[in-house]
Amino acid sequence: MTTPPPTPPTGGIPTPGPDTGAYYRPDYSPSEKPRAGINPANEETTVLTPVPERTGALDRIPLGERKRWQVIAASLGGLLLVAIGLTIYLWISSDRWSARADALEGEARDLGSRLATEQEYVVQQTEQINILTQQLATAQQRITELADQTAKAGDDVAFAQQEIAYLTELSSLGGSVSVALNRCVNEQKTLVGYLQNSSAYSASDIAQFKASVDALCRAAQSANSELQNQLAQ
Amino acid sequence: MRRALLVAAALVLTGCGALPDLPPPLPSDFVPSPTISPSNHGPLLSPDGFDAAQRMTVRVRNVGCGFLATGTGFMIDEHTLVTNRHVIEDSSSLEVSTYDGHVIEATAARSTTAADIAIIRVEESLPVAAKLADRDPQVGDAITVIGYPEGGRLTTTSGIVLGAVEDPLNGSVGAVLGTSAQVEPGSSGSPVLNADGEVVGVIYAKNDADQSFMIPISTLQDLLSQESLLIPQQIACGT
Repeated sequence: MTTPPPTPPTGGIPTPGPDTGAYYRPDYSPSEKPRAGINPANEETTVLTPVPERTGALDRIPLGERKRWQVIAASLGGLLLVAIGLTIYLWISSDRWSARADALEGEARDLGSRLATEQEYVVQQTEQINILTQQLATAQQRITELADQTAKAGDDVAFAQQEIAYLTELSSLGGSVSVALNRCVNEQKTLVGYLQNSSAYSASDIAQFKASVDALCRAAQSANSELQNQLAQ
Repeated sequence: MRRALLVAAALVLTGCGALPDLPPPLPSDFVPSPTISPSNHGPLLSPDGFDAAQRMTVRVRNVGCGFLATGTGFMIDEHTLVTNRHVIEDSSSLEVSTYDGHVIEATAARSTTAADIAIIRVEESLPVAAKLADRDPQVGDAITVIGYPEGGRLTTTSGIVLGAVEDPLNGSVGAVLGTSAQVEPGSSGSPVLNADGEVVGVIYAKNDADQSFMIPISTLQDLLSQESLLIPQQIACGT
């Protein structure tokens, strides 16, 4: 049997209806009531395709359509696997972040506790420093006072040494004056003796002795006057 | 279809890139190391709490020939100190005492006629020496004078530099500097310190307006660099 070449239906492209399995039947009879939208006048020019032996619902799906659904199913399966992987990853990540947060909170509490301890220590040390600062200031003041007293004492000692030296000098001078005055008195006594026994001595010797006694007594009186002046100062 | 797969793969890869990373391990120590240590603080204070300026300043006692006088000086090295010439004149012995009352005998003295400056040598070493400034202070600069006014306690006064004037005692070559710091007899020879603690002058006189006069550090530096200007002084009476 030869198949005539396909001729496009003149009544327009038939609209696919519900899949009844009878639309392409070859034993189609013109006496049967045509479906709506099909022009019976053109029935002879419609190309008919033989239906294969297997007639299951999946077999009736076109091959291209079937591949498309297979790809979609495979893709959905892949996506499901990815979603499962992501879920596991996020689970683990969340668990570890939670553990880290717990550890950090523990560290924060430990640091807070140590900080509080250190703050108490700082307060105690500050108080100690204040006390020590006051003690140091007191000690410094005392050192300065003692240094001043030591220096003043040194001044007093130096001054006293100068006074002692001066008094020693005055004492020495007084001794010399005393000796000179004693010699003056003694020599004058001797002169009086000479004068009482003047016949035994020449007048010139007596006059010379008297002059030497006068000079000695003037020197003694001068030294005495100087001593008196220094004592008066 | 293929394009859809590529888009899906790209979305998956992009989504993986946007995923949060796993947490890094915790650091072993959350407390940073201290950036300072006690050794970084210089020995500005002695163990007894006195600063360098107080420790380098000494009290000078001139046991003169029939008189006793006091003044101030400061160490420029461990055996040498600077004071005024009029502080050591006509002395039979010179003694210096430190801030803590330690007394040291002077062994030699030198002075100059170019300024009221004298240099004293001591056998015993002193721990702190003054740092001399490189230049004279400017008008308006804040200064600090530390010394033993009236031969009393170690005292610190402050003021500013008023400017260069002629020496009111006509004893110095060149100008001297007037200051507003109040000093007393006994402060002669006191070091004048700038804000950095460097010696910028030596107090030697005052006037009735309670202004003090100092020999600028440049003059002292010149004298120290020209030994021939310093004439030895005999520490004995009758010279």
